[in-house]
Amino acid sequence: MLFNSFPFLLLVLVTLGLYYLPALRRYQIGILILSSGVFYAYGQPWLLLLLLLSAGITGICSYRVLNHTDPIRRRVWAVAGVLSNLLVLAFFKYNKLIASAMVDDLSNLGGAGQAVLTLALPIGISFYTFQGISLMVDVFRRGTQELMDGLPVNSGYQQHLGRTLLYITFFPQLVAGPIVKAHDFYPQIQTKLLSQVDWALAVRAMITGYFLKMVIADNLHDQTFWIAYPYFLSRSSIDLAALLFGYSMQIFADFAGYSLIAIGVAALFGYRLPQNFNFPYIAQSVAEFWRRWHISLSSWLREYLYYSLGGNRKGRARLYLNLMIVMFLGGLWHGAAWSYAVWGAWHGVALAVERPLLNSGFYTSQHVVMKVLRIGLIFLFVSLSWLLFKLPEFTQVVQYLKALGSNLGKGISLPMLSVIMMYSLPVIAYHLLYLWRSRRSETRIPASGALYGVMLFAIVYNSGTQNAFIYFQF
Amino acid sequence: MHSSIFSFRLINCGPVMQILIPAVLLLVGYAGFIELARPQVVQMQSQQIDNLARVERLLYPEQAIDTVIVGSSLANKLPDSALGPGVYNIALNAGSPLTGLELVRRMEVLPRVVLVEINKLEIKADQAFVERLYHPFWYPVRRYVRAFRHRYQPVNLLQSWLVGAYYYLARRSPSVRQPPLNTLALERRLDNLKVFRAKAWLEYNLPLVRAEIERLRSRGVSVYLLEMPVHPRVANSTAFRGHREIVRQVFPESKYRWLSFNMNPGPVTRDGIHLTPGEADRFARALGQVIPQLP
Repeated sequence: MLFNSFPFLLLVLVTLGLYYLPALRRYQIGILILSSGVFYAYGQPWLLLLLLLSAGITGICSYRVLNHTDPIRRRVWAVAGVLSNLLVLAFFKYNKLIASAMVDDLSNLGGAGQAVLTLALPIGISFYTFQGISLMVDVFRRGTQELMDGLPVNSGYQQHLGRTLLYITFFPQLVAGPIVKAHDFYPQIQTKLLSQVDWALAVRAMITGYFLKMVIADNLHDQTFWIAYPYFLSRSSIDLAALLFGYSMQIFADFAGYSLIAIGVAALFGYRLPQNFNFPYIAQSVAEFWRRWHISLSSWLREYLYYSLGGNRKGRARLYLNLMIVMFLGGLWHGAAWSYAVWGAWHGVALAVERPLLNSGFYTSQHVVMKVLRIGLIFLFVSLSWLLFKLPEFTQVVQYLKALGSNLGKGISLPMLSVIMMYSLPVIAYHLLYLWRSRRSETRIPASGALYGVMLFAIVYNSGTQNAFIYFQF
Repeated sequence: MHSSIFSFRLINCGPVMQILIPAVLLLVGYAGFIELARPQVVQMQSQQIDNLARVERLLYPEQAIDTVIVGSSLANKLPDSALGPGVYNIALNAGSPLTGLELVRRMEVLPRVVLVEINKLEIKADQAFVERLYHPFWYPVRRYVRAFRHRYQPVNLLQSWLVGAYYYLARRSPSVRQPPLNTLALERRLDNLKVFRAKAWLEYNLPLVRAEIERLRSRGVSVYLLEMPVHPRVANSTAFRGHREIVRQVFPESKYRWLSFNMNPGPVTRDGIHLTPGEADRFARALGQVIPQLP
C-alpha cells in the first residue's frame, strides 16, 4: 500500500477515528496492530504470515530473556532471537547471493532450490528484522530505565507480545523506516489522547514528505530513467552530469519524503519516530554525511554492530577494520548484489582515509570558500556513488563514467536540463534554508504557512507519475 | 475537560489554518486562471506526462473526434498540428498500441476511423496506465476542473513560457528540426535486431490486438493498419522482417485494411526508427491529407 494512495488515506482516517474513540481507548494497541496488518497485507496477503511469524518469534524470545534470571538461558534466548531474524533476512533476501557462492551454475539447483530463488523479496524485511534484533539486544543488555519501564518484567506474556507486535509492525515505519530502536519506542507505548497530538508537527511533516516524494522525487524519476543502459551512451556529458545530479536529488527526496510522511503519520497516533535525514547534502565530510543520511540505519549499525565489534577501543587498525566491516555490511543491507557491497565498501574506504585527516587544515578551516569546497567535494563523491544504486551492473557504472568524460561534443537536451533544475531547486533551497537558520539560530521560517501552502498546491496540481519508494526495494 | 473527538478545543487549528488558507487560495486561483485563460502548453516536462496529457485530450475532447491514431513512440512523433482537425494521436512513448486500443474501446462515442501502428505490437498493454486515467475519483474531477489535467501542470506551463521566451529573445520562430542521424544508436539497434527476440511476445499479443480490432469493427469503426517508415537497414533486419511477416499473416490485406506510404525521398530518422521532427511533420501532412478520404 503506497503512502500516496486513496486506500492509505482511508486506512489512516478509519484508524484515527477508532483509535481516539473513548470507548475503544484501551484497545489502541490492538487497533494499530490490526491497521498495520491491513497495511502490510494489502496486495500481498501471504507476506503477513511471515511478518507475524517474525514478530511472534521475536516476542517469545524477548519475553524469555526478560523473565529469566539465569544468565546462560538469557543468552541462549537472546542469540535465538537474533539468529531467527538474521535467518529470515538471509533466506528471503540473500538466497541468490548465498546460492551463487556455493554453486557455479544456479540452473543446476533442483526444483526446491529454484522455487526459493524465485521468491519475491518481502517488502520491509530489512527494516523489521533489524528492529527485531534491536529488541533482542536491548532486553539482553537491560538497556535504559525508560526501556525497562516500557517492558515491565512482570507483564503478562500476552501484554508483552502485543507491545512487541506493535513495535515490529507499526505501519508508518514498517516498510521503509525510520528504523526505530526498542529503547526509543517501548517507553512511548501508553494510552494516547487526541488532545496530545502535535498537529503542527504532523501536518508539516506530512506536507513536506508528500511534496518531496510526489512532486520532487516522482517527477525527477521521469527524467532519471534515462540513466539506464544503453540509453545513456548517446547522451552528452552535460546531460549525464545533470541526470546524476537529478538522481541525487531524487533519492534524497524519495527517502527523506517517506521518512517525513512516516514521522507525520506516527505523530497523529502519538508516537515520535526519530529524525532520519538531517540535510545530508551540506555535509562537509563523509563522516558527517553518515551522521545526516539515513540516521536510523547508521545509528543502528553503530550501536549494534560497530560497538559490538569494539568500535575505536581496540587500536587504530581494528578501528579501520570495524569501519570497513560495518560499511560493507551496511551496503549489503541495501540489496543482495555485489554492487551494493561495493558501494558500502567505497564509503568505508572514504571514512577510513578521511579519519586521520579530520583534524587537518582542510577540514578545520572555517573560511566560507573552504566550507563550500568541502560541501561540493562530498556531494560529488556521494553522487558518483549513487551510480552503484541506479545501475544494476558494475560494468554499466564504468561505461557511464566513461561517457560522462568523453561525450562532450554531443548535443544537450535543454528541456530535460531545465526540468531537472526546476525540481532540484526546492531540495537545494531546503538545504540552504537550513544553513541560513542555523547561522542565525532561527527556529522559525518566515511566512512558513504560505510556504507549506505552496507545497500543498504543488502536491495537488504537480505530482509526478506514481512510483514506488526507492527504498521499498531494500 | 470535554473529551469528545468532535470538540475543536482538542485540536490546535492555528498552524493548520495558516497552511490551509494560502493553499486553498492558490488552488482556487490557479483553477480559475486555467479555466479563463486556457493557456497554450507546447512543452511537457516528460514523456510520461506527455502520454497522460495526450490521452486526456481524447478523454475530454475540445472538438469532435474523427480519427484516433494508436501506437508506440514511432507514431507518437507525428505532430497534431500536421495531422489536421479531428485527428487525435494517442500513440504513447514507450507504449503499446494495445493500450491505445483499450482506451479507444472505453470511449463514450467511438471515432469514425482508428489507425493502428503495427511496428511495435510486441509491447504489452499497460493496464495501470489505463486505470490511472479512468480513476473513479480523478476521471470526473478532471472533466470538470481543467487544472487537474496533466497538460496544465504548473511546471508544463513554466516550460512552455520558457520556450516562448527563448524564441522571443532569440528572435526566432520555432522551426522543424532535422537533427543528424545518430549512427551509434543505429548500429546498436541493428545489432539488437539481428535476432528476432520479441517473437514470443508478438505472438502472445497479436490475438489480443485482433480481438480489439474486431470489436471496433463490429461497432462500425473503420480500422486501418499502418506501418511507420524506418531506416532501410532497420526495415531489412531479421527482427523487423520477421515481425512484418507474422503481422501480415495475422492481418492479411484480403481481410484487413492497410495504409501504405512511399516516402520519396526515403525517411530520415534520428536513430533508425524514430523520424526526425522534419520527417515526422512531412509524413503527418501526407497522412492528414489521406485520412478525411478514408471510408
